[in-house]
Amino acid sequence: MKGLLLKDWLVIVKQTKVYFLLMFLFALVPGMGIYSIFFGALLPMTALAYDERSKWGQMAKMMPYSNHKMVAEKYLFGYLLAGGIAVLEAVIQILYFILGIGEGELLQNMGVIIISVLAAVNVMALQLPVIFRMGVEKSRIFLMFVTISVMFGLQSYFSVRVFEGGVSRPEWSPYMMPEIFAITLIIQFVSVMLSERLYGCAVKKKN
Amino acid sequence: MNAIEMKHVSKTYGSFAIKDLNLTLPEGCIMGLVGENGAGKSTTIRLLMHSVTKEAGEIKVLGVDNTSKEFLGVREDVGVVLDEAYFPEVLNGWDVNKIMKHTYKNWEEETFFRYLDQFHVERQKKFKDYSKGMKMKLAIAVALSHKAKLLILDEATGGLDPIVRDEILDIFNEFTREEGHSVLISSHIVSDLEKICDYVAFLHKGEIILHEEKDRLQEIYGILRLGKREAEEIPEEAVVGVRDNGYFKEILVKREFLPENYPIERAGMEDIILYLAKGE
Repeated sequence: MKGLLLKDWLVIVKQTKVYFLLMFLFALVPGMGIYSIFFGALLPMTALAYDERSKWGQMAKMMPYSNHKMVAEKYLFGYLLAGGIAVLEAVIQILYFILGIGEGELLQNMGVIIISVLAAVNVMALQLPVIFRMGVEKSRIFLMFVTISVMFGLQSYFSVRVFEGGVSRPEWSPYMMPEIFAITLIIQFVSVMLSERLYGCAVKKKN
Repeated sequence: MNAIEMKHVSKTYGSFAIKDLNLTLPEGCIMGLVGENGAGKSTTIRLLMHSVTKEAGEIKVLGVDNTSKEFLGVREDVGVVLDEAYFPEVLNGWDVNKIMKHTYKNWEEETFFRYLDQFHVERQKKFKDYSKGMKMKLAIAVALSHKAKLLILDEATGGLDPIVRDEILDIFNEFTREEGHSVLISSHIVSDLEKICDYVAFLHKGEIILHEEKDRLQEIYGILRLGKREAEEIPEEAVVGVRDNGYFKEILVKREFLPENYPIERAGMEDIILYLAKGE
C-alpha cells in the first residue's frame, strides 16, 4: 500500500501546489483551520480524479494490489492528510496561545480541531463509496453538496460562541468525545466495506 | 510446468465473444499471440491477469489459479506491459522508481535505471512529455525490473522504431535464457514474432484457430501455385486458404494431405496467418 500512498502523494503535491498553499494560509487564520482540515480530507477524491484521467486503475490491476488495498489506501491517504493538517493547526493554535493572539481558549480550540478532523473524515466516508461506484465526474455535484453543507454546518455551530447572544445550542463537552469517536469508527468501517463492494461492482461493470 | 494455461475460457461483450479459448505456454518459451484489431488479444491478456472476469473455464498463471487468493502473490512474478502505459502524467522516471520500489518486493532499482539509460528515457522528464515510444519503453523497463518470471506484453513494441524494436526483442529473447522465464507477446508485427517466438497462437474473432510450435508451421503448411483447373483437383481437406490471382491460384495447403510430388513452397508465418484469417 506504501507504493499507492507514495504515488498519490507525489501526484497531489505536483498537481495541487496552490491548493496546499491555500490550506496553509487558512490554517494560519483563526477560525478558518476547519477549512484546511476539510480540504485535506477531500484530497483523496482529487487523487481518484487523477487516477481516472491517467487510467492508473488498469495498470494497478496488473500489479500486486487487491481491491481492498486500492480502496483502503484512499481512506488512509485522507486520514494522513487531515491528520497532518490538524497537527499543523494544533501547533499554530499553541503558538497563538503562547504569543497571546487569536481567540478562544486553547483547550476549546483543540476540541474544535479534533471535531473537525472527525467530521472531515466522515464527509470523506460519505463521498468515497459514491465515487468508487460512479466515478469522480458523475458524483461531483453530490460531493460539493455534502462537503459544503457539513463545512458550513460545523462552522456555524462553533461560531455561535464567538458572537454573543447567538442562537443557543447544546454546549460541546469533551465528555462527548468517546461517543463521537465510536460513531466515527462505525461510519469509517461501514464506508470502507461499502466502497470495497461498490469498487468491485464498478470494475465488473467496466468488464 | 506451464507458465500459462487457459482451458475452455469464455467471455462475452455484447456481440463479441471469446469462445472456448484454450492456450498453453510451456515454461521457458516465448509465445506470440497474433490477431487482427478486435480479435480479443487484449481481452485474453486481461483475462489472464484477472482484471477481467471470465464466464467459464479455468486459467492458471505460473501454476496458480488466477481466481485464488494466492494469485496476488503471483502478480509479483509477472511483468505486464499493456497496449498503453497508464502512469500519472506528472510523474517522471525517478518517481516511478520510488513507487515501484514500494510496490514490488523484488524491485531492482539499478536494473530499472540501467534500462532507462539503455532506452534513452530521460529520468527527470514528466510522463506527459514523453513520446508514445518513450512511454512504452518506461513500461517495459518497469516490467523487466522486478525479477518477473513471466512477461505478458500487449502490443508492447507497437510504437517503437525498428532499431529500438529489434533491441527490445533481443532483451525479451535474453530474458527467456534464464531458467523458468517465459514470455507471452501479442503483436500485429508478425515479423517480430517470427524472429523470437517458439510458439504462435492466432486469435480470430475470439477463437484460437492456430496454436502451434513455430518451427512446426513449415512442416504443416506450404503454398501451392496452380492453374485454376489443377487447383480444383486438390483434396478439400488439404486446402486451408485460397487466393485467386486471375491466371492462377495460390493455395495454403496442409502438406500431410498431399503427395510429395506437388511443388509445395515454403509458407511464411505472415502468409499462414493471412490465409487462415481470410479463408477461401
